[in-house]
Amino acid sequence: MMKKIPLFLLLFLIIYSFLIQKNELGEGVIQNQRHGNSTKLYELLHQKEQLNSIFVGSSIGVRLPLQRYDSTLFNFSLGGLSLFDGLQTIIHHHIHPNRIIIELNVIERGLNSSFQNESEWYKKAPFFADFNIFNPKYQPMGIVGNWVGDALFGKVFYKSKLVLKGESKPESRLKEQESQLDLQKEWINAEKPKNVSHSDSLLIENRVKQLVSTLKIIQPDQVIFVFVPTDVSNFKKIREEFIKETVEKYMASDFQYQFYEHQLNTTYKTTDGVHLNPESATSFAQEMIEFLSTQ
Amino acid sequence: MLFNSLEFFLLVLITFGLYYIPIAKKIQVHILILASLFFYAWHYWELTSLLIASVFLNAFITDKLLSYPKSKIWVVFGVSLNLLILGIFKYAGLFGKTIFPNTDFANWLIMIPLPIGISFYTFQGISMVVDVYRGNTDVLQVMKSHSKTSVFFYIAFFPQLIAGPIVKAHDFLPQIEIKKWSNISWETVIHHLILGFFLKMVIADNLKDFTFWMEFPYFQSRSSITLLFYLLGYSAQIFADFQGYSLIAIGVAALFGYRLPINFNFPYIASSFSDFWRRWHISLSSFLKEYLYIPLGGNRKGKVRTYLNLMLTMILGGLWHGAAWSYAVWGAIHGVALALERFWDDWIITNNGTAAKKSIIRFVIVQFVVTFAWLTFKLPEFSHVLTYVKSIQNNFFIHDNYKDIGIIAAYIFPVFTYHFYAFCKENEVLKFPDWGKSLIYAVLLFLILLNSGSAGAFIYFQF
Repeated sequence: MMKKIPLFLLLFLIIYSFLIQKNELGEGVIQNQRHGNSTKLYELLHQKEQLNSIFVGSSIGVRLPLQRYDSTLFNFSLGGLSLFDGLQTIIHHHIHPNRIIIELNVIERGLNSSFQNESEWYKKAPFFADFNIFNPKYQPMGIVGNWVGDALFGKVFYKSKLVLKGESKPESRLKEQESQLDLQKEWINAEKPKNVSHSDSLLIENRVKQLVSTLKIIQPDQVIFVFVPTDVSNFKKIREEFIKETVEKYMASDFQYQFYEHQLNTTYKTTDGVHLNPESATSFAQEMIEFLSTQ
Repeated sequence: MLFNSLEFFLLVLITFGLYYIPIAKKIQVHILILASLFFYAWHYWELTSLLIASVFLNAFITDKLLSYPKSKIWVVFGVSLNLLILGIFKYAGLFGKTIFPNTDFANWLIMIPLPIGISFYTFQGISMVVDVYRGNTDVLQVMKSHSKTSVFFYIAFFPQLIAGPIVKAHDFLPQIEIKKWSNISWETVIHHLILGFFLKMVIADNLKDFTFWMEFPYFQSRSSITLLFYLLGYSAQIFADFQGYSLIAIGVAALFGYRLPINFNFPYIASSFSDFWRRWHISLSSFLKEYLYIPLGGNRKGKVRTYLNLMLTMILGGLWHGAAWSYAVWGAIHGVALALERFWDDWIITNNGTAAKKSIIRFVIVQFVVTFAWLTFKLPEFSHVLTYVKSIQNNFFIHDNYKDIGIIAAYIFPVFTYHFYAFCKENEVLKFPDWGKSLIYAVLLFLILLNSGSAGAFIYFQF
């Protein structure tokens, strides 16, 4: 029995690799943040087209469908991670974009060692790039999950729900919106400090210094800073102003940089107080791409 | 040290190499003791002193019991000291929070560190003391020849040190002898390791990223169907996590020639609550039966006393899992279910003269209660458990995330198939040819290679 196991395994790997390479099985579901980050890393490293701009940020930036409007711009925002993880990967893999767009919403976050190790692993094994079987997007269970989710549950549950909903559909929509609004209200109404605390200001200052030294290594032609809108609160404005002042203080004349100021009269909606909902993320991405095209 | 880490692989490899060198055959046990200490000290070396203290304490008491056979004082002293260690390090925080809430004293008690695996090694200490007291001949024979080394090895043997299976002294100690390379059952090793790593790395480690959303308050905005799938996912995850760990432990122990007891026997095909507890965490339930339920009187002191004994055993068994009242609630749910089931069976026998037969309705009730009871494991605040159930009831018309549902279903499927296979095997419906087994092992290895989730600690490490 034991001798047959490696033979069967090898056979499976070859057949699966062949099918994946030919894209016969379709893509898998992005299962979670970690999986999404790994997939993005793989795709950035094996990007065939010349990249003009790279967007680095956190889960707040992940939602922006920037590549839909500009194929030379790669959205390398990483859920649960930081802009530093994005920049460090760019340095590690000798990627030289002309322009770097930086989401500053969670500048306080530092590097994540396990993501950096993963990035390092890809660097040590460059030949994996040519085989889709190593792309996390093609994990077998993700592909099966995609089939099951769409074909079975998507159709069966969705259709039976439509029947059950009957006239109550608008009501259910309302209920869904209400529950999201409750979450937003909870976040907005939570007590917030009136000023950036001393410890936070020190941390932000250190992070900005770290950011400047990182950018000195990458040497992009242009840097664009952006705060992706979240729910309006006084504290958020105070914090954003402080970060902006600190960036201006330390960036000085080292780089050609500017801030992308989103239109303040536009109301963006979030799903949880922090992350834009799909409609708002799309309109924000469109506006930003328009702005970038004028630069 | 996690089983699915490079350092563990290297530890096993080096220990294995040294263990079977012919000149080392007389110090095989010492090699395993050293490896076990290294394994335990890897993350929190400071707490290794407690493990060593526990070993010496139990060695001292067993020595006394060998000198004064059947001495009640020494056995009570030994069991109490083991329970005291467990109480101080595991339950002092809960005691503080309950009796002196919001005081500095309670905070101080909460800060006492919880040594990993303490619940397992103190229970093994108790088993050792009680078995020597009872005069188990196999145990006594080993103890008389080399007691301290045996106690050390039995309590600290690394494959089962921090999450079981809980091994009884009378099952383990007679196995201590010189082991030979040629006696390794490679088929047992391969079977347990491949299946164990598959359940842990592919099923449990991937499902944990979905069941994360069962935390309060995130679950409130999910649809009823999604919430039900999260619950089923958690049910599969906790099984895959713990069964995975147990299988790896059994496989690694088999590499060194030791046989550990099975810990799970396909619990999700159980057709009654008592059947579930004969299949779930078998080493704990048989320990509780032997060292708690039977000494309490078991079913020998009348019906009412039997129901009470069942309840008490299950509540304490629940609390063994963690220092939070929600675990006691989990144990109480199972205790009530077991008592009701016993009451129902007694009533049927009285009226019909025969025992209740297996039925699909009973199977559905058992699995329903078992699955919903896991909520008290996942959500330590009981109010959150109730909110979760209310959300299942109220969120029917919220939009379902079909992608999540699909992928959770894909990860649950192997656990379901594994149980279905057991059901067919028990009913002699299905027999696998040799090549079929090889094919399945190859599929599992294929998925381990391509589809492992991010490493997460074993759920039962916290116990």
